[in-house]
Amino acid sequence: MIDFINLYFLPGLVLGSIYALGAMGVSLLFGILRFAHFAHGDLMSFGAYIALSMVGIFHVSPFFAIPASIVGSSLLAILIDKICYKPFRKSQTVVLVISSLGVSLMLRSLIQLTWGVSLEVYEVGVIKDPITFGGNFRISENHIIIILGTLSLIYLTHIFLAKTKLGKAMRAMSDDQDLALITGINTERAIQATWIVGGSLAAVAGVFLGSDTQLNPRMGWDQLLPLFASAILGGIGRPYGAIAGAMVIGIAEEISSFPFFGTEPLLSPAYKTGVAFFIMVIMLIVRPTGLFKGRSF
Amino acid sequence: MRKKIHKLVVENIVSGYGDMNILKGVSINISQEEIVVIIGPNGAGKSTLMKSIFGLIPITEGNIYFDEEEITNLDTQSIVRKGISYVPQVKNIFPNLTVQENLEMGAYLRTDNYSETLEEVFKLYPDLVEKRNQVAGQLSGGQQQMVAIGRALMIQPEFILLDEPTAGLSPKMYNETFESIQKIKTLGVGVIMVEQNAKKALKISDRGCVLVSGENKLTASGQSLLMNENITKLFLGGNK
Repeated sequence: MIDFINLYFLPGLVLGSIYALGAMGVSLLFGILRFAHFAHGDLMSFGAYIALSMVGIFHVSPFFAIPASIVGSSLLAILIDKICYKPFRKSQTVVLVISSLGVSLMLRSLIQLTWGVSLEVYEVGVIKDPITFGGNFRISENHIIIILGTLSLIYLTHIFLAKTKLGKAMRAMSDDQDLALITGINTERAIQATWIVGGSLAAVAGVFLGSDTQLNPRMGWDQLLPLFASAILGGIGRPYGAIAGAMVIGIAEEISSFPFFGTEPLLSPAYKTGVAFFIMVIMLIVRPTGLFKGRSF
Repeated sequence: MRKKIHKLVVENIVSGYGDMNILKGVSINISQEEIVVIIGPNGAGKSTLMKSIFGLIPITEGNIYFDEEEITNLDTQSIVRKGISYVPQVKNIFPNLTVQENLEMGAYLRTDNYSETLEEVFKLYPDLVEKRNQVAGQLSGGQQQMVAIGRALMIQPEFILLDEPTAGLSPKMYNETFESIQKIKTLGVGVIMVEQNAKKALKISDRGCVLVSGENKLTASGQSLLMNENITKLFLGGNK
């Protein structure tokens, strides 16, 4: 039981937190721009690598480099939107999806050109003792930061969406684009705000992911499947649903290799990603609008 | 007290989708504190007229003036800024926003304090007060219509365009809606509306405009249209 919590459930919560930050962005962007943003994972990678540079220059903990990552990824997101997505606002969705696929390839190459192709880590050779509580429960400091950081970002995003004029305008646009225009809402400004929010969350997710494992140019791209699985599970276009979806997927992925029967893992850890895929397919068959009734196609 | 009575003048506009002209030369004019009702058979271009005035469908010929200023084909945001708001027939609320948030969105372009206008809207539609924090999509059809019209009033428009505000409402609700439209007029707003309940609408109107296949055949006072035998026969379902 203690092993289950220490080695499977808590890591699942950490993974779920990272997915949640990415999936909220995917879901928000889908709600407002009506397309699946395939370059979202690479925005995560970009944020992670900016933090790597900061760590290299200032010798700080990657968590202190988060503001720089946020600024970098948000600016990049706005720039990409201007060049690669804005010209296609009135085109069919598939054009935007393909465009985002192209952006994803370009971003990955940009990262490879700038930071190289090898594995990187934020801190070399530092192994901190995990914090012990309640006798046998152990959690590392990094994991506490990731979980608490995610919770506070979810809270901040919620306040922004629920209380500010721009946040409400974003939700209004997600509800009904035409009516938003008729109402006089500055739709382009709302779109920009969406990129800033989505880009920031992705940047933090990237830094968290990098600090939990290591950095490589494909790190974000590899998260795309669980990100979309989370967003679909929660009901795409519903950022709060995406959080729930991400927690389910993150925890399911980790506990899938717990030895529920006997001593062998239920599922070999190599199949982790398959779990997200499996849940996504089941969800699309049983309830395509997701747990929280998102958009259907 | 208002300093000036604004006027909206539509002159011979031609508009439609692509090569197909739906409106083939329509003219109407309206002042503040007037209700103009547009009636006509299905497909006559009533909704197209509303959308064209509001800049949602390109106008290829003719002009629209707000007072002396031309506003033909202006972008939607600028038209809202001028003081014209529009309530579409369907999809006219933000279903996942609360009633209050829907109304706040209506005031999006305002930089001043709009709390007074909010109170005015709640005075006009007292039913909405206790629902203000409820998600608009869960309200009844009649209440949703109130939210839609209320949203359009939040910008303090000089003119409001209503596309079939009573469509699908119960008789009790459409009487209430008509009453509220008369109140809106007394607030100093000019109302242009398309209406299926033509007889009832003409009774509260200052003028009626009969639109047939993209042209306005006749514009006259509501009363005289109601008295006109041909009109009653054609559009108002026989004798009164």
